[in-house]
Amino acid sequence: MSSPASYEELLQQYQELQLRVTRFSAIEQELINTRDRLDNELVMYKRLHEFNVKALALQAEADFLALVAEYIIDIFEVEEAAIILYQPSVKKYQLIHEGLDIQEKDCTHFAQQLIAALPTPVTGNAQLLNKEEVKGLAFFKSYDAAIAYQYTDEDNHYQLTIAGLISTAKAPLYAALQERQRTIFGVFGQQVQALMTSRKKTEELKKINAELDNFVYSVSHDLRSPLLSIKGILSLVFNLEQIQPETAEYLQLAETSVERLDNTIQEILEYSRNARLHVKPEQFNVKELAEEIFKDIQFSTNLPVQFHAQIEADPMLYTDRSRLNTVLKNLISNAVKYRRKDIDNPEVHFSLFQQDDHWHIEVKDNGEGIPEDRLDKIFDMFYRGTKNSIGNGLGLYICKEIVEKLNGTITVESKPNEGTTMTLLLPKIKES
Amino acid sequence: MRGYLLIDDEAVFNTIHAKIISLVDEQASITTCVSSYEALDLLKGAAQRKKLPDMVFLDINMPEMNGFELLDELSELPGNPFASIGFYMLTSSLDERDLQRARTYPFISGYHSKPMTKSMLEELIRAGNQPD
Repeated sequence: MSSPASYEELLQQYQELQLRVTRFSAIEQELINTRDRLDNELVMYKRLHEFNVKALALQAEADFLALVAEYIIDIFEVEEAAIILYQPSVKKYQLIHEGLDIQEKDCTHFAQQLIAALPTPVTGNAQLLNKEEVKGLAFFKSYDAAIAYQYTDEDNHYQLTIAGLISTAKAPLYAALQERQRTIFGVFGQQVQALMTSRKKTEELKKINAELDNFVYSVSHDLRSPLLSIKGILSLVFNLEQIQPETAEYLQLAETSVERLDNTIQEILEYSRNARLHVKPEQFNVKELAEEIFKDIQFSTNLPVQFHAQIEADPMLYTDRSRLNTVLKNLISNAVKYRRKDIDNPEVHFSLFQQDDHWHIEVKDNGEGIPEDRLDKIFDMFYRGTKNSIGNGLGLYICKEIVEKLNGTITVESKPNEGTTMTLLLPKIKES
Repeated sequence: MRGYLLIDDEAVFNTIHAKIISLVDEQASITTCVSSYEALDLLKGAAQRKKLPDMVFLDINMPEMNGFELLDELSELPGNPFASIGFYMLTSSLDERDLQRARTYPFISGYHSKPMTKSMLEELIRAGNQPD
């Protein structure tokens, strides 16, 4: 057992403990601060994520930039936000702002001043500007501080500057924008840069796609026009009263060739459209569509084929009308083309049923039919099931491609001399 | 006697279509225009005199003023004069958007692919003769 401690010893122990308590409470305070800071940052990162989700849903560039401005104020607790889109080729400044009291005529001046205040060269990080640096902006108001991010796109088509501003009037200190704010603003800036870059790329692709689309239409129209005039002239020759049987035979061959070339042009166009364009669903009446297609075929061929429609579901479909039009045109014209010439009642039956969340569409004929050994090949590219046709082996291949694009299936059942049934199963698209 | 107006910048189509018309309708009085400007003047005058053709066949892809631009001009005319005649688009366009656009003009009676055939015209005349 040790001897009791002297008063001095106890006092010393007490003082040491007190010192420790002070040190611990300092550490505790620091931990609390860190926790608060992290909490705060977490909130900011959550807001950044929220911004990303919202930004992706916006179509127009102006809406996107307005959202950027809104979030600069929201996340970084600045009073005013300015976004400058500068196009060096035409020396044009576009200012999008939030909270700024600025007149239209001053926008370009303000944009130039803000860009001039940024240190050069500007890296991919956010910049903090102090009172001295933002002094130049003070032509209509005085500022205490600013935070900014700037980048120029790869092709030097535009330069984007985003900035948050704190005015002297509101008197928050420069310290309000701290180093970690700068880091997060940098992350935000990179996010905006990535979003803007992908927007511009998408825009460019859309433009190229539209140009290509117009080009393909224009070329197909110019290729078809002379063909169709030949077709017309041939029909006039067939109407002449005196025509040698041999001449008629040659002209028939010429007409077949013209027909074949026209089909090929149309099918190349359809294939290219299906491969390139997005599915664009719309509301339409499928019964009317099928009847129109049949009527068109009747108009141009004038064949004695009967058309029947059996509709056992709501005929208003919501899907890509243009694509379904191509598929039905192919199926119905095949049904007419491969009719049995030795019977009096060639028919095409079109039917629509509902099957769970699918539409079940059938095009059925009582025509020549397809031998069993060819059934699994008819949807192949360039496969031609019969030498008696003028087809190029693309029609059903395109149908299959289109149906797959619509997430559906196409199947065939057929018996020679009894007929063919083509069945489409198309999943219902939800209307947005 | 039925009056027909053919509007196509490619004269060969006007020739073919005029022949087809005279095969189907021996009494036909046929006028052809190779530009929309020409057709616009002609139709404006005819509307004023209330002597419109019974059937008009209009191409889409034409230089200077295309078929739709002509339709826009015609839509401006007072009194909707073309509602009572057969006004058809006759085109080699495969663009579905052209068909959709043609539908937006109330006086367009139909949209058909070139070349005109005898059976097509017979059908149009038959349909036109039926009371509404």
